[in-house]
Amino acid sequence: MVTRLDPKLFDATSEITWCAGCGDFAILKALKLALADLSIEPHQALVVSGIGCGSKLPDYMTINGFMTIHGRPLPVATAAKLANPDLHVVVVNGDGDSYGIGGNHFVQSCRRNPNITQIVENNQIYGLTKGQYSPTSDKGFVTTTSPDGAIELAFNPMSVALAAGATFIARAFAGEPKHLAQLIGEGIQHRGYALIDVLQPCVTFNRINTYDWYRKRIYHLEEEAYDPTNREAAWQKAHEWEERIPLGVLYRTDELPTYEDQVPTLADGSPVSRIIELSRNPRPQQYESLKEGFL
Amino acid sequence: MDYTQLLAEVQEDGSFPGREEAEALVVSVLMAMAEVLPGPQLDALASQLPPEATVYLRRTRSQPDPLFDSHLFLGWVVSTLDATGARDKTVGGLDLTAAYSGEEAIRRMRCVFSALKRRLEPAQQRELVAVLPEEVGGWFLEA
Repeated sequence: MVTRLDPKLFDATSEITWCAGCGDFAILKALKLALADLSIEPHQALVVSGIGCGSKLPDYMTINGFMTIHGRPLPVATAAKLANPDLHVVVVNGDGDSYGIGGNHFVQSCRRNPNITQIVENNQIYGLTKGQYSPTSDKGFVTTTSPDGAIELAFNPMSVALAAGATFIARAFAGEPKHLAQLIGEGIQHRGYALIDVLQPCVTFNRINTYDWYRKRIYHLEEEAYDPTNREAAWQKAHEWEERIPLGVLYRTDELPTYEDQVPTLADGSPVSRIIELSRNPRPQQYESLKEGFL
Repeated sequence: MDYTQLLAEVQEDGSFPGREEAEALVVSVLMAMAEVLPGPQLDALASQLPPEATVYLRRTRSQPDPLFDSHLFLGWVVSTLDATGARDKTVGGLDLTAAYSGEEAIRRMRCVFSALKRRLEPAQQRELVAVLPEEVGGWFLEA
């Protein structure tokens, strides 16, 4: 039986600079709760972020944190997982960082299936830079950089993740932190890449997709006879938007190996553990062997 | 007490230039309360309000989210504020005055709470405060 930890274990003293009412508060709270519920201690986890309002999150937790350059948290997280497979690695970044600047890394992570969890704070706008339209902004969305309305169709992370081979795809709403915490927990427990796209109102710059806007549209897949292992059904759900927006696990399969499962040199154990062991008991030829395993 | 009077009280208390602004505020606070109040307290509040206001107290979930806190409550209200200002010449966006939006949202929220308190018995007020997120309960008491 897992002993639940106190979420306050993850509290930090840093001053939080998010706008009052920002959905990121709920994401922070839910992540702490999910880790505590799974009895994962701060030293056993790493939170990797990019650039953006939501990417300030690692600074607001007592946990291993790594703020990368814009759009790059996924490769850094994958590398950390390869170096220390025992670590629980969670990526937290916004829709611009993930689906825009880091779009290629997003697609590659879906097909690569590293055992990491990605929480995307999807507020459909660039908030930190004061309100430009983002990849997930709906067509026609008016911002400072789209004064006549966004011309492009919105990026659909659910369908792209499914097409690219992601093994766990979920969607949550920041206005329902308990449900969000539950999905984050499921994502962390999933062996493989887990995407949790969080619909997160930007209360300052996005006056369309508000808490009220989402409340009128969201529904829960758990409350319907929905089978998340059915890929065709997931494809249909992935395209629901505007009128009805499904929350919950859209798709999951536990039948594929993780990326780490298929890296031969990891069969000899965690590289970090081996390096620590070698530092205590130096054997130069084994350093070379460890290095060659990754070449 | 009718809906027009409720809005007039909030408008006057908050010194809002228009009735629409007062109504948007009332609606946002009531919808946030619908997210967080358990059934009995929600029904008790609805019974004291005009029908035009009670439509915003309808909850779509059977139970309130136990993790719903003051930050989320504020989110429903801040969305109705004008939190952006003049043109920013440095990055082409809008000046961010959102740093003060929390204080302004709390000030406005108190105007609605004040109007609600006039319609609730002291015992009903205490029951309401007991189930609101702690900080929100404090704002209600201060109103």
